[in-house]
Amino acid sequence: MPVLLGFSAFMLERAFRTSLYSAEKESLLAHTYSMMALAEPDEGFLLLPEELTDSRFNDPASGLYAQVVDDEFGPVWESISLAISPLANKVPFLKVATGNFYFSVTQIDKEVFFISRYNTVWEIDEQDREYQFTVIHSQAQLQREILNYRKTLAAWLGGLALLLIFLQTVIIRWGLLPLQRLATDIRQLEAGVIKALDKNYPQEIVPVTQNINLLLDSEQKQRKRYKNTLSDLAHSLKTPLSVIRSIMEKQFPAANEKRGWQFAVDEQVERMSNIISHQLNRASTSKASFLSPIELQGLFERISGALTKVYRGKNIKFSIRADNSLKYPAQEDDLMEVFGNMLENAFKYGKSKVCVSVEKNHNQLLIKIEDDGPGVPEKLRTEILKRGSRLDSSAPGQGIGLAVAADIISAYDGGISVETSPLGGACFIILLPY
Amino acid sequence: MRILIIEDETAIREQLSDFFSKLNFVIDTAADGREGAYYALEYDYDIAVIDIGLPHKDGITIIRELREAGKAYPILVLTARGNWQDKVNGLEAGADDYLVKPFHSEELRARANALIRRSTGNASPVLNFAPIKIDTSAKNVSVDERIIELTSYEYNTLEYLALHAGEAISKTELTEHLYHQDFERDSNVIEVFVGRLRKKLDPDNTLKPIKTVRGQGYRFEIDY
Repeated sequence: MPVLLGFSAFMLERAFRTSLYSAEKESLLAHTYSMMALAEPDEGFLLLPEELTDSRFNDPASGLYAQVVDDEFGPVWESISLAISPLANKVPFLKVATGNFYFSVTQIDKEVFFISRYNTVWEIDEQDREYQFTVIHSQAQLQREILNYRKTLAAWLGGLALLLIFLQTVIIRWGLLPLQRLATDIRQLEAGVIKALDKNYPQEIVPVTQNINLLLDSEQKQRKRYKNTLSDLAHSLKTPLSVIRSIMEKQFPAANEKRGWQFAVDEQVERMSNIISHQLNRASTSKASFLSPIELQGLFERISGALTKVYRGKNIKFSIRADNSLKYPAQEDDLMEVFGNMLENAFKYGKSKVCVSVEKNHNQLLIKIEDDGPGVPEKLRTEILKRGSRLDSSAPGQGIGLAVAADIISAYDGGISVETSPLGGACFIILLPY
Repeated sequence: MRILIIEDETAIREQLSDFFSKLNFVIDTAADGREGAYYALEYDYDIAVIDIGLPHKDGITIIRELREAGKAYPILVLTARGNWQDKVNGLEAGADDYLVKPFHSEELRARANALIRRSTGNASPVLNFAPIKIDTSAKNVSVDERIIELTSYEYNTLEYLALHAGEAISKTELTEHLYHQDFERDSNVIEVFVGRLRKKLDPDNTLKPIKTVRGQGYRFEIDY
């Protein structure tokens, strides 16, 4: 665009200069004609009045001069302006053909002049004499005009350029605005603030957003299919295990000599089933790239409501301290698995109280699950939260809930630890990046 | 006690059925959701064990339907997946407890007993009607700390009456909840059991724990 503007500036200047030159030519020709009209032959000479009507010819500062040159005798008349100017006698004589108007640009004493020459034959006393009418005009004024024109042109074109650049920037910005919005929306999608891109996009971007939505949809479906496949796998593996166990119990109900054997098989069945649950959980808890915001208080209340029912006999008092609008982007199943296992432990071991608190500070979510049970012995604290590793040495009767929870939390780049609660029991502390 | 078992896996269903019949439960079994829902809505049970994953109609739907129909008996759900979504959904639909497969029969028995007890408003496994004590987990009865020998039918009759202490229980209800369908449904049999129970518990006829309510049946009650 600057090139275009520069080129048009150049062209405009050229056109202006050309038109000025031709106007100059016209005016010099007009002066020539008016001089010729005034000229009168007298006593063998051509006479012109000393003062011409155009006052500029009488003022040496005007830059407009004229002279008439006899072919043989040299200058026969000079305008007053020429006569008293330093230019007098310096105008070069140039022989030109009769009847033609000659126009030239000549430098005299470092100043540039337009000079027009017109040769005409005048019959004086029945004798043909040839005179050259010369009009000299300083270019100073013209240069000034061109300079002014250039200034004006530069101002306008510069302004235009600025305006265009501004407009272009605005238009590009405006044109890219939907893309910017798309970027923001995708960020929000990733964070789980929204679930799909809306339809209020300009026509040009709609195919993109539609495809993104389709991709999201298919990703979610695939995830679901994957989870379902895993669940089916779990189901299909666990049912035979149930059957093995029931056959065991049926065939050897209390036979003393078989007891040891039954116990061994039973323990292995238990381990196999724990391993299946655990590995399935691990397999399906790679954090998805697109999450939905889960309302934490509601989730806790659902789980505690269910557990209160199961542990109805214990009369556990459940309390939660949380900002009820607090949402965390995650897969609901994942959070349910974590908090379900943690709360179940609390309800199981707690005597009468289970407290949950959810706090958000800086970019972390701090969740505490406390009970007033016996607590976790110091030396077991790291071990029970070791993800995966505990399984191979799992003691019978111990669930895998905590290991599963630890796995999921680490998939969300969080951490879990256990301390002693002021209530007297265990205090599980979960930190999740927010 | 009368139990409904809805489980599509034949081996598990039969094993549960065997197990509970040894405990003298009256058992109805269903192999799919539709059949199960029919039983669940048509009859009254002391407990129902319902698998979540069932053909035709899933366990959670059945639970929701029977709760909507006003059935209040305790429900234990079985889940193979063992995930919390299933557990919470089941409990929210109206189940009272859950068990993850594979489970020990003994654990199921303990849970089922606890649920039955709780549903009749008894928190402790020992029903104490001094001087009569009924231990529902050990299945024994004592009067003044002296163990009374009872047959399992006698025990079940007493337990059912004691669990519903203060209520008049008809002979029909007793028959339905205590005896297998092929059992001869003769109300005289109930009268015989009650007569024997009265003799064993109260040989001197001073406590009179089982009252006859005319036209309504029996009521377990200790007058102090």
